[in-house]
Amino acid sequence: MKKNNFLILNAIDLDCFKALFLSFMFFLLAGCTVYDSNVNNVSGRPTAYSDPSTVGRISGVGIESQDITSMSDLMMRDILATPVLAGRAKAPRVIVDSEYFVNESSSRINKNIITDRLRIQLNRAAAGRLFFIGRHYSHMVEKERKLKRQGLVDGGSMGMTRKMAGADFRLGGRITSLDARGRAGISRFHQIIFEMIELETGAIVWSNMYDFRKTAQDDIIYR
Amino acid sequence: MKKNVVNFLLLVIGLTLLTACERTVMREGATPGLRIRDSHLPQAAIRLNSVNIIDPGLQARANSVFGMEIQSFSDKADYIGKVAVENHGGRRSATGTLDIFVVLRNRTEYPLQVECRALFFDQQEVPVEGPTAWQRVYLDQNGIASCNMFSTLINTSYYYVEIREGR
Repeated sequence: MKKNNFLILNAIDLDCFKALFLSFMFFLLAGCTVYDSNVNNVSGRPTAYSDPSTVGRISGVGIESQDITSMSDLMMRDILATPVLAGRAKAPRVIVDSEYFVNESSSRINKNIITDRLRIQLNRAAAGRLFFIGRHYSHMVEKERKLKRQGLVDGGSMGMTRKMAGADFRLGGRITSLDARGRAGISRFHQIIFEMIELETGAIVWSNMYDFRKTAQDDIIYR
Repeated sequence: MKKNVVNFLLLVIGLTLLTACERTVMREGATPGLRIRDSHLPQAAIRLNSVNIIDPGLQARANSVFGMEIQSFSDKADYIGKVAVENHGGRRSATGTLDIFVVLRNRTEYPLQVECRALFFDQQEVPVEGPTAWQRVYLDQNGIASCNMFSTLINTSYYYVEIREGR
């Protein structure tokens, strides 16, 4: 009986051993499958920096980095050479933002990239010849003024004023385009105008324009 | 006597070699940045208030004889590249900034696109403004066009213009 039991146990053990061995082999094979997959394990091309003022490897017919750097630089230098803006005895107060800078073109672009760059470059180069008003931050200023006047915070180190600063001039502008598409490809003409408006009379005291036409076999997707 | 002469010569040669060893320049540490002062390379120096073509595609051809360059600069027609710089200069704008101009002429029979930019220096020849953005200029065949750039500062005295082929 004992011998029989032993034989049965042996038979069970053998089956268990076979099952375990089979499982082990499957695991091994599974492992082999993972390591033998067709994953491309080469290091690949690393990200490369490129000059934003030069046409990149991926370019289409829209407004690109070289256009933005060129147009903002051109406008900044022209504004600083205009006496009615940069030649006044008392620095005029200027608003440069995208509020009145509209995009009517078929190009997808965040307008702020143009107006922000122009404002920053102008502010740095003007060196006191122009005084910039951050109207796009007016909510932030209003909130702090309210806290000061409610007595929740002190008046700061620079004192308080009765009102926020008003502006003398504000940037306006428009981006327009003209598209042409045919068998040969696509062509797009862009016209970007910049104007400085006197905020009391509405007079346009400065204007300039940046235009270009690009032709390509097909456009790319801009985001 | 002959042996002494040989020994003496060996000594002289040995001393000469040792002297040479002592004079050998060993390199260690950073290399100092130097400007090139070579009479054979006059174009290597920076010339203020000048226009410089930096693109090999537009540059003047070398004035050479049998492959040997004999003259670096020449205003002879054969030695100027696709674009001729007809005139350049600067004046003060109404706000006191430096207003510079470059007049270019296309010497070829086809339209050309070039780009220009400028660097500005003060009275002490210190660069006070980085290069402007590249400004594209369209040149018709045999046509002329100008490139105008303003400095942003009032204390600029010199300019240095670079021109390359439009990309």
